[in-house]
Amino acid sequence: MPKDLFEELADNAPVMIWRAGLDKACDFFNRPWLEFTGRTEEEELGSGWAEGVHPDDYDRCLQIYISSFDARLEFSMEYRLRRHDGVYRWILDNGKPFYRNGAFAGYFGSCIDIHDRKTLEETQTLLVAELNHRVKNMLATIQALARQSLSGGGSAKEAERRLSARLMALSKVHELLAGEGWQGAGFSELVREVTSFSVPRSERIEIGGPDIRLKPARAQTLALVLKELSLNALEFGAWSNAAGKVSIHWQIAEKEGQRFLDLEWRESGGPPVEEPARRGFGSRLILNLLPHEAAGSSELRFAPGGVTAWISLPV
Amino acid sequence: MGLNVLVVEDEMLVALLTEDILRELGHGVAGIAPRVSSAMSIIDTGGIDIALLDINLGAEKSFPVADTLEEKGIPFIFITGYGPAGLEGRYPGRTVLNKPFTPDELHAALQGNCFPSGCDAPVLHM
Repeated sequence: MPKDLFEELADNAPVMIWRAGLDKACDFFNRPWLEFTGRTEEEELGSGWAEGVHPDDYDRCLQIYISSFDARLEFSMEYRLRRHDGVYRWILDNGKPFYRNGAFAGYFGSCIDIHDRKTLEETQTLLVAELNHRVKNMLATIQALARQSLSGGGSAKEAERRLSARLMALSKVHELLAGEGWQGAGFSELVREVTSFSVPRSERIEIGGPDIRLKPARAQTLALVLKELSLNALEFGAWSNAAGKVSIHWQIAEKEGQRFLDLEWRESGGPPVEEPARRGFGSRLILNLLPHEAAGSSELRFAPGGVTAWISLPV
Repeated sequence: MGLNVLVVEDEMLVALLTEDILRELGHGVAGIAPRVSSAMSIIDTGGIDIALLDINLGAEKSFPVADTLEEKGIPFIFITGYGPAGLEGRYPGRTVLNKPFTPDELHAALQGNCFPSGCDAPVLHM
């Protein structure tokens, strides 16, 4: 092949090419390599190129290069190489021994930038681990809900109904979050969706407040809390008779530089309320879950006129 | 003889469940901590027999709590949704309970860590 044709090929191929002689020292880099590193051929020759390898990859990279070279074996390795702008990019470097007249003459190597693919792989690994974690937590959550639903007394049918209602609340949150790519959930919609299973007729609920976006964990916590309040209203409170109403109002307040969601759940027109003898699952959830998990505060009052709950949590 | 157990868990519902199971098994709960800082202050108060550590506490991991407990010679059990991989190769030989766990599994883990065979093992009365 004429020299100018070789150069045209080497300099225009969409890969970075290097060559090393018998002494492992590099004696050729094509234009794409030099354009990538932003260095001159003189700087890269010999072992100059290795100066651009990321310090964390350096030893591994050299070890693979030297041991493959000594054994005359092909190698394929990934390492980070400093680009002309100082940014380290993941590179896939394939090296192969070449022979001239049957005698070993050195190595040729070709490199491509795999940074985007590599970053995607890392993100994917993280996502799978996160998903795994979430699924396990979700199962533990369901285990907790099942236990509480079954130990709440009453018939198996009632236990099943309680469990289903709680699972539906979880499912609704999941649906809302999935629709938003797990970025967050709109609170107004969440309130409507979670209560809609329990409210007997639409005029027996009043919902009002600014629409805000909630982080996934907050959305789930609030959905479960609202579900417990709804279940209680349906069983003993404002929705257990023909006329009672529930009003849910919230606002955003600034407290010490932090945004808080202040929510009030107020029941009226239901049968007279009595303070329960034993704190049920719902009460424990409302009184413990919010302060614990969300660094918020909560209050629950079994006033004769109707159950009232106040919830305040950072958003 | 009931144990005084510290529960380090950021998911409150799971913490409530763990608390219920512990009480059923005849143990007490020294406290529920959702974060490293709150766990540390409960440990400082003293009187803990063993701790259950959820590895992943939202933005942080419970390893600093494990280190402190190790220094004080207080036994602990890891609880994780990631499996043993969640330990990142640290704390070899420590018990790891997978989420979700059954009361039997928790009971066995507590027995194994607080009353190793060969010692005068108090019998748990449930």
